[in-house]
Amino acid sequence: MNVLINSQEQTVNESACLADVLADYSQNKNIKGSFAVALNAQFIAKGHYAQTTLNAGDKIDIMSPIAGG
Amino acid sequence: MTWSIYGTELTNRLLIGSALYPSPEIMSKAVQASGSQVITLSLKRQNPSEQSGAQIWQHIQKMGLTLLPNTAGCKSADEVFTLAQMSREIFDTNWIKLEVIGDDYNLQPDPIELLKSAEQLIAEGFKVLPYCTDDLVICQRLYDLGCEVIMPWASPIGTGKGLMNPYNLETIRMRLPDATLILDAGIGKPSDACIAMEMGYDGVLLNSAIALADDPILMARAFANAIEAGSQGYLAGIMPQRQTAHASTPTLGTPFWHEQV
Repeated sequence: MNVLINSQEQTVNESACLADVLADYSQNKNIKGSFAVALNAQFIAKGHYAQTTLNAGDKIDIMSPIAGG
Repeated sequence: MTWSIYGTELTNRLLIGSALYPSPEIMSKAVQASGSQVITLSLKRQNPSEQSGAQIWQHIQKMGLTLLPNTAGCKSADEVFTLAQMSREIFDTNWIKLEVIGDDYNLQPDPIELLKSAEQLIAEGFKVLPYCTDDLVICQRLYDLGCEVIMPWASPIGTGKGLMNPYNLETIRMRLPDATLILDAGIGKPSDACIAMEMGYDGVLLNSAIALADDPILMARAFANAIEAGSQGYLAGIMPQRQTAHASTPTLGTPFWHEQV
């Protein structure tokens, strides 16, 4: 099935949980360091990634620290 | 003299932003030169091809400062709530600089969403530092909701126009004597910060005025001095203005040719 990660379409396993998808995405995109995640604009705490199931069309936002004023 | 934000004691009254510097190294040196103990930062979508965010974050972590994450880019209370929770997880702090923008042209905070957001965040245990306009009633409402710190703007973000409406800012200070007031946004030059401190503001938050200076490190020092001068001036008690001239040199014993016959 397809989901959107930071607005880009990605194909993931039907049975994949959020933790699986994040692990694959981090490895493929060489993402390092701290990040936090929202699923369909709702915050998902790190401790809940493994229990969070996904549906086709879900929107995942991965956010990282940047400079700010 | 110390002051505090939500119980955290500070000796320096400048809160500094981490954006817009020519390089992470200059940012670090400017922050150090400012003496600031609180630094603002933000979150954005992870972009693997862009490493600048990661570099800045590494520099900030090394500085050991108190972090003040913002909710820049949010336009609704719902967006703020999600971003604030993400910030709390990453930065491990309950402090949040609440920004919720109502107009794209002047980046003016949306007062309705601001109040809704503040209430929601406080209920979830956040220590909210709301960025708002210089509207007394909005400031009052935010304070009544439980925001111990209120951060009215001097002028729109990044304009450097300084204190657009000193009357409003003075009135907020006078009407909210127990609130911690931090002037945020629009400051252009050190004297702007000094004026705010002379009004009795507790601190100043700025970014562009230092980061966009020809020499950010020197400008950081200039702001630190201006804030210190303004703070001391306020504490010392500024003389009241008078309508008429008063000689400062004693008139007794003036030269004889001035004596009336």
